[in-house]
Amino acid sequence: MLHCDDDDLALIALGEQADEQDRAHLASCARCRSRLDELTATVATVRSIGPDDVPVSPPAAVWAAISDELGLGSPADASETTSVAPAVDLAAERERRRPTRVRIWAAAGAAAVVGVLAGVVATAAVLSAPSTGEVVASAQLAPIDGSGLAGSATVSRDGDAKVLTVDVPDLPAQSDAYYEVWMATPDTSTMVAIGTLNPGETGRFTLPAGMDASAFPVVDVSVEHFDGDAGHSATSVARGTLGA
Amino acid sequence: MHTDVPTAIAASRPRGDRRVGDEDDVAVRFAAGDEHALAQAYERTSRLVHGAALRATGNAADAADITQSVYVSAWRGRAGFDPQRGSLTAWLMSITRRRIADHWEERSREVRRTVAVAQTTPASPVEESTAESTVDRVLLADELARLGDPQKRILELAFFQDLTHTQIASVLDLPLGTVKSHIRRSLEQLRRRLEVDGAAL
Repeated sequence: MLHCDDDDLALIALGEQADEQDRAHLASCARCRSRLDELTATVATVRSIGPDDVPVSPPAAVWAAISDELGLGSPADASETTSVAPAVDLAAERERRRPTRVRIWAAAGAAAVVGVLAGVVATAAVLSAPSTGEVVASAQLAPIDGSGLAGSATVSRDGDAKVLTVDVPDLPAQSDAYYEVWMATPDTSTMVAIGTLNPGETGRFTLPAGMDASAFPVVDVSVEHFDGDAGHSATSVARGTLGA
Repeated sequence: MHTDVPTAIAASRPRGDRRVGDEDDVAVRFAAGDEHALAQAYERTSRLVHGAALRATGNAADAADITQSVYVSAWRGRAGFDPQRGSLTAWLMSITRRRIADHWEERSREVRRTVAVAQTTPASPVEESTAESTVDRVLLADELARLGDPQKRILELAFFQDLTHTQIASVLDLPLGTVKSHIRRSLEQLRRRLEVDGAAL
């Protein structure tokens, strides 16, 4: 017996008409029917998603309380363990617009530890290869949401320092906004502000000495407004992930 | 130009593999009692747990309590988690469902006590199913946000504009087969996010 095509089941789950053959088969095949039921339930759930159904980072105190209740962390690694929680989260950021860059940096330091723990190692190996001047990682920056703005980013060595070079050729000048370059953890839960990118220029940024660049492989270019808010605006124009 | 930030991330990495690999590693170490793995699991999943708890209770303090209790009981009950059988995230989300349902049960018990009208309200099956779907909706909202284009655009048209795949192909000027296979793969990916771990604490 030939089962329903998976493509067709997905379309039927979304509400498209089943053709005669699929209808006949579904009437007699429990396996295909149960697959269809699962997909239909998934579709129904997606269609019921409301604006408040979003992931939200818990306050930092929650991790502290967990850690406390479980008595986590020997003195040696307590700082690593407890540093996990305060990572800046963009969704929460949009709601609460965190005020200071200092705070983002603090979280970034914490997340660097997490990033390494989390095994963001592929780029780590690349980024830590010691060889001055040469490009150690690069990324194509792809347009976000049809911005049409693509570009490239590289990390190269300059003595002991690492330099991020970002080029987005067609960046349009805006009178009431500017562009900011960020480096982020793979899930973008934590972003570090790297510097301002001016239209028509190639941005060249020396990364902070203490920053573990490998923990922040995502390069993001955002539109920022002159509003005194140092957090990410959540409006990105291009993004890519550094790799070898 | 506005975007949910995780969007392009999914687009720019080979779908799933690396993340799944990392997740497996964390799950195995979690089961083995590695505290760092708990911290990592928290880092990755607490937005989902807390988001669902917040949505379900509408109360920051209650949500924080639920989130705390999910990870505390997960850690204490890690012997009951089998990385071979399902993902750590699915297990944690199952615990979250349970904790949200517990919360409601306790609430309705309190209400019954204070109102002192001990009639009706058997352990509120309606609310429990809402607890289920709250978690599911947050999980799927997160997964949708991770989709890159053109998958995201295709699904938006299919889910929320009710376009057929033929219409979508013509709107986005994509081959019919491409649209069909994107729909199938994305929907399958969403469905997998809803897989539950029945052994939740």
